[in-house]
Amino acid sequence: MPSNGWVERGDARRGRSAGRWGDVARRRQTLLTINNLQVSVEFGLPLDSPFASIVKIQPSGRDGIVRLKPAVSTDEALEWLKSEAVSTWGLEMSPEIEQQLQPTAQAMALLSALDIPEDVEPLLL
Amino acid sequence: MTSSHGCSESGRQTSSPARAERRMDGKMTDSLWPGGSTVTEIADSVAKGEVTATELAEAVIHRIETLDPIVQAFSQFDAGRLREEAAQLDREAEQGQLRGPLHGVPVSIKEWFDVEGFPTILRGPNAEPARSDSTLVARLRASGALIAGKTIVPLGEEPPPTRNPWNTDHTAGGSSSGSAASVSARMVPMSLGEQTGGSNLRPASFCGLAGLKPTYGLLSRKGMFPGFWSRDHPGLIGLTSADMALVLSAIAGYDPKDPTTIEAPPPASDLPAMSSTPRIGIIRNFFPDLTSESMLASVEEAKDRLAASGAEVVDVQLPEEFGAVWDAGTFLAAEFVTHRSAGWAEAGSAVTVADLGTGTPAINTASRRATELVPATYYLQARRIRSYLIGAITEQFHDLGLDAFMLAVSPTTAPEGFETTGNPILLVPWSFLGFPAATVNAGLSSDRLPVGIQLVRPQRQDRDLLAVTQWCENSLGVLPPPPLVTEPR
Repeated sequence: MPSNGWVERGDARRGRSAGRWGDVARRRQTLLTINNLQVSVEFGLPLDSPFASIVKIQPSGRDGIVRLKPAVSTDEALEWLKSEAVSTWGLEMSPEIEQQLQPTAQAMALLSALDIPEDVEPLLL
Repeated sequence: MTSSHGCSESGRQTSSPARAERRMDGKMTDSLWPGGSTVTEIADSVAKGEVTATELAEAVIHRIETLDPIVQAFSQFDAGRLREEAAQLDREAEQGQLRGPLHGVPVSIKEWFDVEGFPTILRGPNAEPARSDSTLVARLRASGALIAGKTIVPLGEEPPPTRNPWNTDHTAGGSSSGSAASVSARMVPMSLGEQTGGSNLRPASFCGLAGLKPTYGLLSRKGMFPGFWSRDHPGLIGLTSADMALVLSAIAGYDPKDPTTIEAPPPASDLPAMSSTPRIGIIRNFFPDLTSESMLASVEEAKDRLAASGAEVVDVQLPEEFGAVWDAGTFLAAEFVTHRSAGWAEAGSAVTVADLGTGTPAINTASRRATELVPATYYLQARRIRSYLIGAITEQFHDLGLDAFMLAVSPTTAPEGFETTGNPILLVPWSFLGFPAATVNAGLSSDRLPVGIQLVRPQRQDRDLLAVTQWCENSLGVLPPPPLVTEPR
């Protein structure tokens, strides 16, 4: 089981799910749950392709929502970070890890709440 | 290769005892070096044929042998190579060929920069000697500088062991502590440092020196070990603002090998005289809450002295949005994580709780590694906040007719011990915004440790900033060398 939570098959690695094959019809199916990890299969079916292309391993209880706008709360951001820590790093969640993630969640909430004029672009130099 | 602590070659004493009184005209009073005390004085003496690079190299070797076992500023030093390079500079001078404005001036280099022939230790315990110089080291050499050695930055982000020459029980700061200590202990008159958060100005301040973190992109990062790409600033640590201006003019400018460098001529080497006394805006929000009472009192005292010299000091409130600067800076840690990922993968170890420890102590406790989990939109939002604040603060600065913002460099003076290198929280915003920031010494605290004030201007106003810091130096005076240097050994 890969630690980054993704298994890719077929042409997905080369981005075909949004490329030559056009739009992708997705369907998720839960297969089993092991140690807080809910193993789901998300089939990305290119409309003009006969084979499934993407399998994603989904942490259980991953109902944390994260977005930039509308503003995310610290709790929402923390839930997101916790679920990502499990799926990305394969960590067992603990109070210590949650404590380490809390400041990042707070920073996410602050950035999310800040309104910046629409025409401001990120200067990358 | 010879370590500074194991160097067996003996140098000869070329210095005379220092006079330790504090001068109020911005000039140094100690004559620890042949030919003068500052870069400007030494370079002038070499150009006039009053002192040779070899004499200067022997002074460096003597000081390092005498003081570095105590101070622990240098990580790599080769006396034989230093003598050879000095001899070559002397041969060129004898033929009437001075390489540039720094001919014969000794300069130390922070470990982060590649120096041909020395391993860049941060690249790993088995790093091979660098095959070429980083751009800035190459430009220093082309200007005639004598590369004295490399200053300590421990592998693995451990606090450096470097002692503060003003009190060896205290840290010299970090992570350019070796650079600052090498100048403070008068082992060299100038050092090339680096600041990602507060690592150039903090040690400069803790060691009673002048320091400059220039505008982002003014100094090339080619050949410099990366931290946060968009916050990494090569910097200078020296004795006076005039020295900063001279060295900056020699090494600044566009580098095709670093696409983030500014396509503009380097600032002139001489500082413009201020047409009037400066108007300085002392920042009254955000920063005071992060600063100790004793440091605030020191800043107020410096403010009063500047005002007594004729400066107009006004209170400034930064816009409310400025408060996001620390949290926004957190997300740029994704750059650090991106760069380090290959090394972590090679090491093959799984992420543990320990890896999530505080990434930038005392700024906030947000884990650098946690940025690996954050959607890219947050990184881009942080960059947008940077863009917005650059515009807002620049506009406010000019609307108020200021010559510089003023605040403390650090919440406290140099902490005792070596578990921490001090707090960069007052410096990080300017690293995030890429604004030039400089430190000027404002005397000693009651416990005889240097106190620094920080002066800041908007981007690309480095020379004007140094003109202000020079005015402040003339008003506040310049510290003599620390007792470690002047007391007989």
